[in-house]
Amino acid sequence: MKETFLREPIGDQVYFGSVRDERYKTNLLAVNLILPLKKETMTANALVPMILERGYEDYPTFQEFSKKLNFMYGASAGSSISKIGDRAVLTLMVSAIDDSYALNGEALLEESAKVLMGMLLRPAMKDGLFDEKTFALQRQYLIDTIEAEINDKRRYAMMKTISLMFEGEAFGTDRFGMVEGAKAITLNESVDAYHRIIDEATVEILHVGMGDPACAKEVCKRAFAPLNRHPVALPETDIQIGSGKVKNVTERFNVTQSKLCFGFKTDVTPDSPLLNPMRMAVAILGGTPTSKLFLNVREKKSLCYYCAARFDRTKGIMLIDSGVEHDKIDEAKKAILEQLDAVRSGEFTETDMEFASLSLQNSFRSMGESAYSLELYYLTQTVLGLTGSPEEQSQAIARVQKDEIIEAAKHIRLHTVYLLTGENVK
Amino acid sequence: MKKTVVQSPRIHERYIRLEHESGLIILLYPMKGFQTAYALFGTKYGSVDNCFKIGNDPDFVTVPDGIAHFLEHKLFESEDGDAFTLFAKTGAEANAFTSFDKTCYLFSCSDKFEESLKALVTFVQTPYFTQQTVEKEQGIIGQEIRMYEDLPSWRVMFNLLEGLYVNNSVKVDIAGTVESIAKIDADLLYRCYHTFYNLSNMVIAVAGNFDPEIAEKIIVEGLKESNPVSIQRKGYDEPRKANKKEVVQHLDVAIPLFYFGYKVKPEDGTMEGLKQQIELEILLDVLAGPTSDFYNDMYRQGLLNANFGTEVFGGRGFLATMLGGESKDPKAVLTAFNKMIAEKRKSGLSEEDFLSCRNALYGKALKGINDAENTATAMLSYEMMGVGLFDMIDVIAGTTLAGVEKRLASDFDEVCQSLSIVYPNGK
Repeated sequence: MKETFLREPIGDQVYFGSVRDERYKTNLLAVNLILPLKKETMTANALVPMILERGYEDYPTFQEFSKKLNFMYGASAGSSISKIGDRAVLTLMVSAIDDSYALNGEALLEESAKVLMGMLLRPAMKDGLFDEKTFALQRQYLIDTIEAEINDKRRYAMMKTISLMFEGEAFGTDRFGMVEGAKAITLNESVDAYHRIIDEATVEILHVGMGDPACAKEVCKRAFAPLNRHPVALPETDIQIGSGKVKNVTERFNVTQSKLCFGFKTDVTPDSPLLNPMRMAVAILGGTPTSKLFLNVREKKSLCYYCAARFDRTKGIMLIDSGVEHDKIDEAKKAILEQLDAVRSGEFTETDMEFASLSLQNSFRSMGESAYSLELYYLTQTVLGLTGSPEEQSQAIARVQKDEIIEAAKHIRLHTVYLLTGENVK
Repeated sequence: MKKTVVQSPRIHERYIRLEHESGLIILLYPMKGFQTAYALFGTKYGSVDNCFKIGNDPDFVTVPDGIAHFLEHKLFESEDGDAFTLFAKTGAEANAFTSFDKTCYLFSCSDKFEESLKALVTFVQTPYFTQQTVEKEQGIIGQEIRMYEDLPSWRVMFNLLEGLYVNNSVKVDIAGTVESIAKIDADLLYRCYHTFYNLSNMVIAVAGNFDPEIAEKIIVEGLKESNPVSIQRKGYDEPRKANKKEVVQHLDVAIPLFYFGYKVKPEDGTMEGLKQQIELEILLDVLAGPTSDFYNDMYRQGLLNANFGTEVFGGRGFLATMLGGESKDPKAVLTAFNKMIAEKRKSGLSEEDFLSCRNALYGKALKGINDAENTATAMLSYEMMGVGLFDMIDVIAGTTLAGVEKRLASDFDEVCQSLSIVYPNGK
């Protein structure tokens, strides 16, 4: 079954997109605010959705808001923040079961749209300011969230690698911003940030679900109609291969397993003809349980429990991350880089290609099964200015040739090697 | 083969349940409009099953901790290679997991379903263990164990289980320890395999885009000859008292993580067990969920943040309630919680709060059967519990305030409570 994505403007730089599909029993509505990624605004940008998700004018406390959601059959409401290349994306979303399953015939989709617009445009304010207590608690939560990123060492190592690859740049900054910035932010500044975000953002509202989105679109259109906004131009993402000088950084923690992480830059942009060959190269290298890294580094040599490669097309970077025993670090490092060289010099078989291709096609075809992944897929496509459906991506993958894969692999250049290891490891 | 169509008039859904002569249960849930199919082949065998006997064996045998998980890893290997290769040929994504009371092998695919299903049915029934491959796996699993040792969110949960349980092996890490897995050899793996991978102890569940007649044919043709065995698992004499009031560990975390909860005596009978779990789930939500006074007071005092949650942790032979998150003062949270419980026991619960949480659980249950993966997994889990997928939805709809209040009286005994905290290093 092919999903159809329909998108139309409903205001000045406000768009409403929808994938309507009967297989879902739910409706997911997300409002995405797209802004240029800048170091100086990241922390405030991260705090605002965290305040907005706790309630709004009609349900000003979190407790009242939670009760409202419970009566909408356990609807969920929340926020997230992400980077798509050099753009910041602030998201508020509401997801509820479809009207047809409501026990008393409630119009849940329309209600979800009202809740979503309420959260975004009618926050709980007094005298033009957020509730001081909510502000202070959510600011602390933001600080806790940034500080807690160290808890999961695997994720921390990957984030750290990215920050080393883009030191001093906005893309290298944590998506939640910086602890010092969060500690310094005032109530007034957070309100200013809120108004700036609403004024400047390009707005992409997306619906993925079973219901007819017309009612939700109408609610959103009416909510934005009275606003006089000044959306700013969004910058192109800077994608460069880098100089080739490798940065080596080691950090020590009280851990029993080391994390070894490699950051690579490429000059392959999301619209490049090398994009799909690159996806294939990365899958052959370390994207599946039959990949070179999995079979050789983990299975044959037992050097790692995990060793995987992934490509972020929005910034043109590849990461390889692995968990290794302290005394096998050098051996693992050598083995991992050898596998990349093998891909570059074409040392992979037709079978390797077939397995990688089938695996990538399967993941594109499976994307539509989850409303959340489909929403993220179309949002990313829209932000990148692209249109293809997952099915079209899948077909393009199937056409990739071996020489293109070798060519793509030659566009991968090592930039950073980050090692997180034990305190007493030599 | 006995065939039944399991239906839910409430949500207009249905699936097929087949009982094969071997004792294997096959569950088939075709879903319209979906592109992928998801299949699991599971056995009622997990980390808790470490002392057992079959048929007329005179004695119970005790096997090393972590062996069920070890077996899961090893089953992917056959004489002529790796089972992952079979799935790579079809583009399916294959995986496996071991929990406390079950082991499952699974795949998800958008094409060539028949070949993948055939591969799943075949490789799970074809064990191949040698001393050499066992030794290699000890290295890989040793590293997996170390990875979890460094994961605070995992440690804080297992430390609570250690605090709650005296004898039940649910408190032992699913993967075992580096020492325990060193004792595993090929013979022990075969012994466990021939006990628990008997078809009478297994379930196959498929959901999504597939033809049920074709699936039935592939499965039945792929089954090897198997005579039902009777497995006796040694039960645990678990005292009605927590093992330790508190378990503390220090790791590299930013703010303290905590988990506290109660060891609960599971009700006898499968439907009663399901009812108890759902009543507890609603009760925890009423008492400490996002709509509760408790959570909102703690939040406004800065003692809890958005990372706080409750769960009912249940499986074969064990049941516990758990609450956990991050707090600068976990002990203050527990003190406030206990005070609230004492008050609620006197005052009772509000009907409105109860209805709001029951409504929410109904919606969440429905969302839980929104895709092939969740549907197949839930169908298999409830079957292994001895109930049906739709029973869960009916039990939620039929839950009463009186039933939930009864749980508050019987299942929140402070003697059975324990607190686990992971503090930042140096504190």
